[in-house]
Order: sequence, then structure tokens, then C-alpha cells
Amino acid sequence: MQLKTVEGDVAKLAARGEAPTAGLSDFLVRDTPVAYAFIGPAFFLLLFLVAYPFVLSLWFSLSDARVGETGSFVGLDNFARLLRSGIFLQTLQNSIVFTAAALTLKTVLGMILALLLFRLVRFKRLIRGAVLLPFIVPTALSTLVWWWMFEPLYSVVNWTLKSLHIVNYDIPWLPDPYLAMFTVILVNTWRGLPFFAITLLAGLVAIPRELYEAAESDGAGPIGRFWHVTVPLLKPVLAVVILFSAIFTLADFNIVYVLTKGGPFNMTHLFATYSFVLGLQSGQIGQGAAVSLFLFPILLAVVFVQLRMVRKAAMYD
Amino acid sequence: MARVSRRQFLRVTAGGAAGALALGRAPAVAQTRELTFLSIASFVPETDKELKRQFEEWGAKNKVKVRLDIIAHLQLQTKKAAEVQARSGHDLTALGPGLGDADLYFDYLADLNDVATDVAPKNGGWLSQSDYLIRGKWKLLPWWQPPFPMAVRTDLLEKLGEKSPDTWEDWLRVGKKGKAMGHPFGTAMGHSGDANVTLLSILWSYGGSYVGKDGKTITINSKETRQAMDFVKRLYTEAMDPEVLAWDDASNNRCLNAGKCIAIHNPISAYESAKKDKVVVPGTQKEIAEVIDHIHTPRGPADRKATTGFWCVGIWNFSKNVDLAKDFLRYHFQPENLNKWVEAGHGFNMPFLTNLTRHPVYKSDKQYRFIPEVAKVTVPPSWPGPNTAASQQVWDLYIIPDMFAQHATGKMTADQAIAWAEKEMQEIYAGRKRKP
Repeated sequence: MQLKTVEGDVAKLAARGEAPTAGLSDFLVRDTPVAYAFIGPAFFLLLFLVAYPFVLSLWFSLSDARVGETGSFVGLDNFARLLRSGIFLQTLQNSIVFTAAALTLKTVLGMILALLLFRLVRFKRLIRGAVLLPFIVPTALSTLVWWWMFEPLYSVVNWTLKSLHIVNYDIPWLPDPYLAMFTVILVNTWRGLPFFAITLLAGLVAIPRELYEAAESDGAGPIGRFWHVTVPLLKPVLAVVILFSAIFTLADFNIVYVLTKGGPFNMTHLFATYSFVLGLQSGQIGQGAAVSLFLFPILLAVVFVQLRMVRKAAMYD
Repeated sequence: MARVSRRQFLRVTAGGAAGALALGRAPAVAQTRELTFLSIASFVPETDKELKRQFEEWGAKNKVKVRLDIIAHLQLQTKKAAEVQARSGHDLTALGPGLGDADLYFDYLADLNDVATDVAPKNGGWLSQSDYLIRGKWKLLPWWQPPFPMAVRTDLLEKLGEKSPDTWEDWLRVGKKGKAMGHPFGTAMGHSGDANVTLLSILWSYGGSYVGKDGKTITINSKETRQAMDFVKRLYTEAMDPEVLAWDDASNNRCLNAGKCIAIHNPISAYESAKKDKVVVPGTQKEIAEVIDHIHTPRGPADRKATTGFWCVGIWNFSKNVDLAKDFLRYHFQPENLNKWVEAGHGFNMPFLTNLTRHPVYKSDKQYRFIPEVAKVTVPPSWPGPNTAASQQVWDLYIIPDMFAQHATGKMTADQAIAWAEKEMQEIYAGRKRKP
């Protein structure tokens, strides 16, 4: 069996690396004021839309701000208070379980899907496009459809299972805390899978075919080729995808808000949903900000380590 | 047509904009007065149509441009917070559920003492004035409440040989029998407003409460609470389906109208929609509205009490039209306008004014006969404590439903669940102490 590589795609990617446009770019690079002018808008956008809200939320988390009040500095009081709250500790646990499970599923299934898409010969474009659908449809909308499918009274999933005589009772998808967690993980995985699959596919396409041929002539089987050629060469892509997805998954709001509102008894609350309830619905902006910033130091460390890994892997190339 | 070049256009518009900015107000042409009102979508949509009609009528009389924005009730909390944070938005706003907003947004709501005093005598006085005064002031007008009777299936009760269940224990018995024939009892126990309402009603009916009159002491740890929790555990395991843990505010309506539930603790909205949509009992040609009846909210061993969403209306003090807004409130709260509005809402929207609880609509259909009775035993959600931002947070975080659910599902013992709720509530009340 031979893994196919789409040579055309590789050639195109390689071609994109060069592309000399000497005259104009030389002028622009040398002209420092012009460069600043071009960077300016993006810089100000970042400053006002990212840096300012971030610093503000940092301040909120260290203050006793409520809706309408700027509040005064209280140090780490909000964080201490959160650690005393049963709901928050539950939220912390949920977030870790949710992110770990969803990421694992997305990585494994995403890899499988990418390998399948890679080997696809007929209707390639159509199928690759269709795979992206869950990622494109607005989450609030698609999750609502999932809610209809799992809704306790009219669940079409239960109806189907019962009609096929697989079960003879209604499975409490959303009322049972563990099944509810399973359901939100399932929907998150469904939504995030295309991102993994398509990005990994791009990585696969970029792996030179000669490496597989060399491995094959050295006697490596399909599994050996996967572990010793595909995985190492995909590592940088994989690291970036997992990094991005970890951040997005941890910050998920829509899926939980639409499906469970954090219930039953807070067993599916995530940082974003709990922060929303605490900060906006109850007006405790300081504490709400503390919830959403709680993982910031940990995330920062993860980003640091992963980016280092990526850089190392790139150098290895 | 004279052609305007791009340059001319830019010069004129930029000049105009600069002028407007310098003056700090819009040019005279645009200076029509405008009053804006943020409200929530009613479960009986005719209510909103009548409100809009009155608002427009008032606007036409006073030469004021009016704009009524109606949003889903779940969006209101975030919208209010955003408007206060930005100190801008609508002039008039719906507030609630609960009177806690008056405390939470105390510094941002205009005083309504004059309006409250004006409108009360014309309508027979406020139902329970002391409940609505927050820190001794009228910061909002209590607007409407949907009282929570028991909505029941008379045909199923007849089948079971049950005459008139009146206590919570009666409903456990009925629910058990109903569940055995595929028609369980239904009350939400998850993160929804209905769960708060019904479980608080049960807690009080068994003699329990969560906060004392002083608004400080957490009183949840009591033998009455334990009794209420044991009752709810039996109700959940013996008379209901586990799906109630994931119900939202519309689920019990669906359960009744789908012909599944034997009874739900809910306002008349389920019946209203069944009637409007001509829903039939599954497998028959019979309209389900014909076999629905509404009876009194159940009694417990200690009391008969219930609560509901106390929907209110207020005026932001950062509004530039406080006086105009007050004028509209006076207009809307005139007896004839309130009467029309209650009529339009088929009584779902009962005002907190004595005369309106005796509105003819409650006699027009035998379905509504218990609604004024239920209103008499309806108390604010923080009862017997005052309405505060803290009590609002207990409601928003669903502490009461979660306490009951954690015990009912066997996740915690009664003592553990109570200890959990007590600690959460103590933290909430301690964290909400007002700055001196």
C-alpha cells in the first residue's frame, strides 16, 4: 500500500514561499514611516480591542467592582473567595474534564479524518468543503439544533433509539450530570473537528512523498510510517492546532449556555458561563473577571511551552 | 439635479458633524423628543401589542417619538448591566425578575416616589407596599406578576378517582399514580426561573426559609428545610421523570400540552397557548385546553405560600427624559389603561394593585378563578427577608434548586446539601454588604 501525496499541492506551497516582488517591496521596507503607517491601524486595533479590555479585566479581577461601579482595589480577595466557593471548584473541575476530553477526542478523530480526507480521490473538494460545515455554521444556531435533538421531552435521538429497539426508556442526556457533560463534550468535538481535520490535512499535504518512499524501502509498514514519518513531521502543526483549540475549548460559552445553562446542579458550568452568571447577571463584575482570568497564568505557561516546542521542531526541520 | 462633488460632500458633512460635536447636541431639525422603553416579550404576546399601542398613543398626544424594544426575558439581565455600565441606553426599562434590581441598581434608578404615590389611590392601593420599598424608597414600580396556580389535567384526575388535591402531599400521591400510567407530575428542578419559584414555594409551605427578616441571617439550616427536602426527594423519585433536572421555563408548558404531565405548577401560559394553537390530547380529537383546569397553589404542613417573577419597571437616572418617562408611567398606570392591558394579557400579567386583582378577566373564564387567591399568598422570592442584590444573586445562581436537586438525585445527603447551600448563601450575603 502506498500513501498518496498530491504533488501539485506541494508544488504550489513551495511556490508560495518565494514569489519575488522586488522593486515595490524594497521601497516600502526601507521607508520606515510608511512601515509604521501600515502597522499603525493594526496596532491601534490590538491596543483598543485586545490590550485595553485585557488590562481592564485584570483590574476588575483585583477590585470589588460591580455593575456601574469602578470599585476599589482588594488584592487577591476575589480569587480567595472563589476558592471557598463550591460552585467555582466544581466549575474548575468541569473545565478541566471538558477541555481534556474534548481535546483528546478532537485530536484523535481529527487525525483520522485528516488521513481519510487525504486519501480521498473522488469528490475531493465537495467533501472537504462539507467537512467544514460544523465549523462555519454559527455555534448558537447549531447548538440549538443539538438541544432539540437531546431535549428531554421530544429528543429525536431517544425516539430513534427507542424505535430501533436499542433502548426502551428515555436516556436522560441533559438531566443526568454525567451524560450532560458527555453531551456538551460531544457537541464541542463535533464543532471543533473540522478545524483539526483541515489543518492537519494541510500539514499532511506538505510532507514530501520521498520520505514515505524512503521509509517504505527501509521496510516500514503503514503503522511504522505513520509513527515515524507522519507524526514527527506533523508535530509543529499539531502543537499549534492543539494550542489554539485548548484556548477556544476552555473559553467555550455557547454550547453550555444553550444546552444546559451550567446545570444540572452546576455540573457543566465552564469558566465562561459561570463568569457570565456571576459578573453580568448578578452584577459582581470583579468576581466574574476573576473567574475568567483564573486560568490565565496556567494558559500562559502552556502557550510558552508549546511555542517553544514548535520552534524546536521547526529548527529540527 | 445639482451634482455634488465628493469634496463638497465631505466638506459639508464634516463641517456639520464638527458643529454638532462642538455644540454637544443635535441640530434643531433632529431635536424631536424621543422616549425609549426596553421591555421583555410576554408569554401572552397580546400584552406587548397593547403596551405598544398605549405607548404610541401617549407619544402621539405629547408629540414625542416613542420606541419600544422588546427582548427575550433571559436577555434582560445582561442588557441592564450593559446599559448601567455604559450609562446610556433606554429611558424606561423593565426590571426583574424580582425586586432585587432596585437594590443592585439603586444608584442608577430615578426616584419614583411621586409616581408611586400618584397611581396607588386610583387603583385601590398597592398590594403589599412595604415589600416594594427598597431602602425606604420607590426605585421601581412593581409592574406585573404571573401567579403560579397548579395547572392540572381534569380527565386524568378523574381517571385516578382524585377529587381536589390541595396539599403538596396530595400531589405526591397523585403524581405517583399518574407516573405509573405514564403521566408524571412536572416541576422544573434545574437552572430555570420556574424551578426557583416552585421549590421556594415548597420550602415555605413546609415552614422553611433561607434568609431572616433582617436580610442577614441565613436560616436555611433548619428541620423544616430537611422536611421540605425529603418531600422533594420523594416527589422527584416517585412522581416525576428525571428530565425535570434539565427543564427550562417552557418545558413544563410543553409537558402539559403534549399530554404527558398530569399537573404542573405554572402560570396560565400553557393553557393560553394550548387554547390558541388548538392543541389536542394525543390520540383523540379533544382539545387539551378543555381538560386543563387551574386550581390553588398547594398548601404544606405549615403554610400556603408561593412566589413568582416580580416584573417591575423603572427609569434610569442617566436618562435625559426622566420627566417624560414618569409621565408615560402615570399614563400607563391609569386604571383604564391598566385594565385594557390586563384584558389583553388574559390576566397572565397581574398588576400589584388591589383593584386590578379583581379585574373582570379573572371572572370571565373559570380557569382564572383561583388566580386572585394565589396572588394573595404570593410573596417576593426573598421572603421573609427583604429584596436585596444578595437575594437576587441567590436566585440567579439557582442555589435553592441546586440544593434540592443534589439531595433528590442522591448526590448529597440532606445535611450535605443544606451545608453546601448555607455556605454559598453566607458568602453571597457577606460579599454583598454595602460599602459605608
